[in-house]
Amino acid sequence: MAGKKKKREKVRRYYDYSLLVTIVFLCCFGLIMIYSSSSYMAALEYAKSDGAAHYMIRQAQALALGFVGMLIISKIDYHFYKHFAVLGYVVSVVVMILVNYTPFGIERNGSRRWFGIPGTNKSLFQPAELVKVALILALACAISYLVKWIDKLRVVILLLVIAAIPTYLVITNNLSSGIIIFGIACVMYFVASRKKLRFAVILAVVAAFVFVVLEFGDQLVSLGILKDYQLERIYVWQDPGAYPLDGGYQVLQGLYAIGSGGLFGKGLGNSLQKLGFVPEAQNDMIFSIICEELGLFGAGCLIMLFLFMIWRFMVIAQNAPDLFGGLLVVGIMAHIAIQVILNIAVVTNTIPNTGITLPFISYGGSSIVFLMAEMGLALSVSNQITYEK
Amino acid sequence: MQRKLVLLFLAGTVMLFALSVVLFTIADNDEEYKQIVLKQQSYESREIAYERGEILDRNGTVLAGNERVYNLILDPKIILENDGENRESTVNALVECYGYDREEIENILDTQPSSSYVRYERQMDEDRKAMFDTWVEEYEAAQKSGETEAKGDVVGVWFEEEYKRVYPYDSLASQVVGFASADGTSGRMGLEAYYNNELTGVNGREYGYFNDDATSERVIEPARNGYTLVTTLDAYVQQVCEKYVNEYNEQVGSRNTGVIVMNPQNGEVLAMAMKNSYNLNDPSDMSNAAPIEELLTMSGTFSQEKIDQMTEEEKKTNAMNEMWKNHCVSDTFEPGSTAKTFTIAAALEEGKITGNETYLCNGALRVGGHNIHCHNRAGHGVLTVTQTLMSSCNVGLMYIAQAEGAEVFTRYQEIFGFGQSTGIDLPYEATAAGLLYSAEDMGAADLATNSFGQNYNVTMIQIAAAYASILNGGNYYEPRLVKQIIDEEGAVVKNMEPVLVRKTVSTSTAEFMKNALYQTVEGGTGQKAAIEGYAMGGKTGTAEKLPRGNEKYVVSFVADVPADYPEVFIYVAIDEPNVEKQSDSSQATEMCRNILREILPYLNIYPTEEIEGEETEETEPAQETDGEETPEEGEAGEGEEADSNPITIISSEEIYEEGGFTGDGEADEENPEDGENPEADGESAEGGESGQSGEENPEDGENPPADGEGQSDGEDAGSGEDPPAQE
Repeated sequence: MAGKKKKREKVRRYYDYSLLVTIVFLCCFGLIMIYSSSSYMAALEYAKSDGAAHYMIRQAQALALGFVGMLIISKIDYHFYKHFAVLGYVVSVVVMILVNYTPFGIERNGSRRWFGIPGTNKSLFQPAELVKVALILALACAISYLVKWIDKLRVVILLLVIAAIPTYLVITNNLSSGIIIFGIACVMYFVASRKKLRFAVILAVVAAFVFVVLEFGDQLVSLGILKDYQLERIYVWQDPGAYPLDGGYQVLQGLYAIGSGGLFGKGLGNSLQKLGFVPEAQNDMIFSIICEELGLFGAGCLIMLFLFMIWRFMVIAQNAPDLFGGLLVVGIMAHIAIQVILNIAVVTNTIPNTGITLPFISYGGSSIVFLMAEMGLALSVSNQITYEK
Repeated sequence: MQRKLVLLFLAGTVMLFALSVVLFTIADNDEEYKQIVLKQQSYESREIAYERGEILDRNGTVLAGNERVYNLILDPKIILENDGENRESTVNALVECYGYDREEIENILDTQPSSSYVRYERQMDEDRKAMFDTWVEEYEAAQKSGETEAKGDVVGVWFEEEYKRVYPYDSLASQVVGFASADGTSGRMGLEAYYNNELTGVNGREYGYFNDDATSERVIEPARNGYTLVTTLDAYVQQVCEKYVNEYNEQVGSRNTGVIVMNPQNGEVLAMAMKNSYNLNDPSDMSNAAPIEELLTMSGTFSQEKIDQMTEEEKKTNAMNEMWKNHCVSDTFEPGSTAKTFTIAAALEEGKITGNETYLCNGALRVGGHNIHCHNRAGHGVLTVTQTLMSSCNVGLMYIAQAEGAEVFTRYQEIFGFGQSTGIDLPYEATAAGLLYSAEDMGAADLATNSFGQNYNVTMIQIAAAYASILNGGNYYEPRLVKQIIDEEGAVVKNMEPVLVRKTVSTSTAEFMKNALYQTVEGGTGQKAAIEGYAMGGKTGTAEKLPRGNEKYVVSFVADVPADYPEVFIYVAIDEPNVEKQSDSSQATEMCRNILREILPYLNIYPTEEIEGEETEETEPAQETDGEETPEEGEAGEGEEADSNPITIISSEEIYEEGGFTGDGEADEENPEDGENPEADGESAEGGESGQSGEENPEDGENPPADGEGQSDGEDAGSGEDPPAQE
């Protein structure tokens, strides 16, 4: 790997350039794919303003901001961020409450997920993305303080509460982000804990719940545990072909896109499905357009790249100077891994459809800015790794 | 922690690997999905045009139908495929077959190479389309046999089907039927507009569909065609009416002429004709209509001032709208003496008169301080109620209206539907509501002039519907033009039953009025309308237009046949006939007679009376039904009485003396734009203006008192306040 060494007095500082290169590559690749998948529809929709490049320009702007932020964050010792753990957590919870229960929340496409200025309908960012960073920081902090008693019931409950509050606030409007947030918390705890059995139990409970939902969905709806539209999505998932015009449309069109791409794809820019068939092709469904244009080969390369990235996180976490740093990177790793896996699973109809973006690739300004901040944190941890030569 | 991290990484790797496998299985359907995607492309926007519903007359004659036409579509993308090997051959085909401009086509191919849809020619008929197919066939045959050196196929040219609205009878009932936009999606004017929702259908679709095996199938969802309207119109009756209207306007001329033929028993309109009919197949063609200036002033929609301000373009648009307008339902005017029937019917119905009264007419009556003259300045002498109608005596009518009082009079105006929409199934119906008096505002002079149909406005269809209610025994039906809506298979979607709105008068009143109308044709002002052998009723009308004293009149005539049980009602109104003396209502009477003479046998209404004198030879079965002549027999006594009456009324002029209304100068200045056409504003049912003018116009009506004062000479000359001579 292309690790470069920095000289600082006697000890040398490490900086994970291979991770940095991967990040840069993914971001550029994302910009190209956003342009490819959105240019046709954008040219129709924004003919009078930006035209075809509408989405790409906006993504590039957010990306530039995020990239500068990442470099700055990565150059500061990550222990400095400990001071913001409590503040960040409180702020993210307050913002979530504002979004959920006050006019600061702005609705888009039927979901109230945006923080904005009341009355103007101008949205600023999606607080769920802020919550992810804040929770990773807060949990890493809390666990590293409490690591001695990590398997005591009281501590478990405390950590559970810390994770549950933002999860609950997010999940009311955004099931997928809620799952990701809680998943991150579970993984972080799993890594810190010395027990294994309880995780097996948790997995078993989740599996049982999935089974119950599939078998007794109707009863759960009548009991009010499950919402109607959620059950509907499960039905659509089981047989998308039966709902070609309603819920199954998006998934079905995504599958056609993947299928029609074949092994090497139709070539960059030659997707037919992006011409209005796959809705929001630059967003959640961008992976299907990648498959269509670049084929299984391109999609495979992308997956390998993500895998490489996760591996880099693992290496950083293993070599982190202290538990706090390690947990920080574990949280980030969990975030990227879960989101990539879920996104590809949705696009391939392996799990029911729920709105999850593909990190670095999908269009989304606030998502990319917070993601780059996380990358900054990971790089900052890597930068604190010392070794002697 | 190290181990757990590795465990996590492995778990992630396994999951991503599993997803890759899933991806691979999906991509395994490669060919199939490729097809689906391609089919989606070509089918997504393919629409199948629906056919707009037809409009039929009552016998199934098509008044509005459709013709299948084709649009020639070029697909440059396909033409240019394979390095353009078919480009030249295709362009050649188009140029040689249709004589298109080669440069223009090449230009399209060069400038829009990626387009798949360029509509090159619109609305080609079947033959023109077939030309191309034949040409291509011959070309291919020639290629095969080696007759031609030409290479390449003809590709990327196809025909899109469409329907074009056609009106087989061109201008027949144009203002009633109206027309639709060229693509047949929206109706403008007339029945086309009023029933647009019923006439339009739903486009069909052709699309790719995936069956259980996920193989694509081509599916056609057929278009639902629009519903067909079966109207109450009779094409023949309509033709006859239009023939006479056009003939009259060619030979004599008028500002406007309107004819309504109706079945009074159920309110079905058989014909509705007016001047300036236009070609429905080319509605913007104004060559057959009056000149633009004349059209603009025709119904008084625009004041001269407004017309002067218009640009040429606006003038043309507005004139066209005037030409398209259905004047029988959208224009209002003062009805004149035809409305006397309703004054008498109201008085009878309310028991204000018994029908046995007599009135003395000295040529004028002093009302509210003015002398209001009868058209016969010499006076009609003593008249019975029936005779007042027969002679159309204004004085007699004023006495009757006095007996009624303003409250009864206005109430019955409402009952007879004046000032209200009749509910006819046509757009833009005028009500003239603002041009009627309310009981509170009605002065003695207003009541007096209203009694003989002046100083308030009506539409032709209002008069027709009100007459029908008297003729059928007192049932006011909504006049209507559509009796059935059927689908393309002929199944009935909706039957439009006659809608009974209210009872207007009792049977006895209706019988009295029918007889009075009959007597009017027998021995009154309507004699000229009489058609030998037919027992018919009728009433003349001559209304002087505002401003009074300009010698401008609307002459009209109503008639019903047979008199005892009328099956046909006809109303003819001529606005400003182009004759020396406009006040002569014989213009309308004659047209009415001519029309009836032609349509009665067609409608299976035959003469019932013996034809006197030499003419007998040509008529045969008239005597058979003689015995059933109720009106004649029943009123024989009265008929004699009429004869014995010293006054014989026969002049068909029945306008009240102008003297009472001249010198209207003041009023004119106040309301210049209302001018001679009070209906101008009343008819446009568009908000504020009509409301305003509605208030203004009754003021106009109040002018007579003021003017009358200036006419003190006339007053003295008149015999003043003669009480009605009671028998």
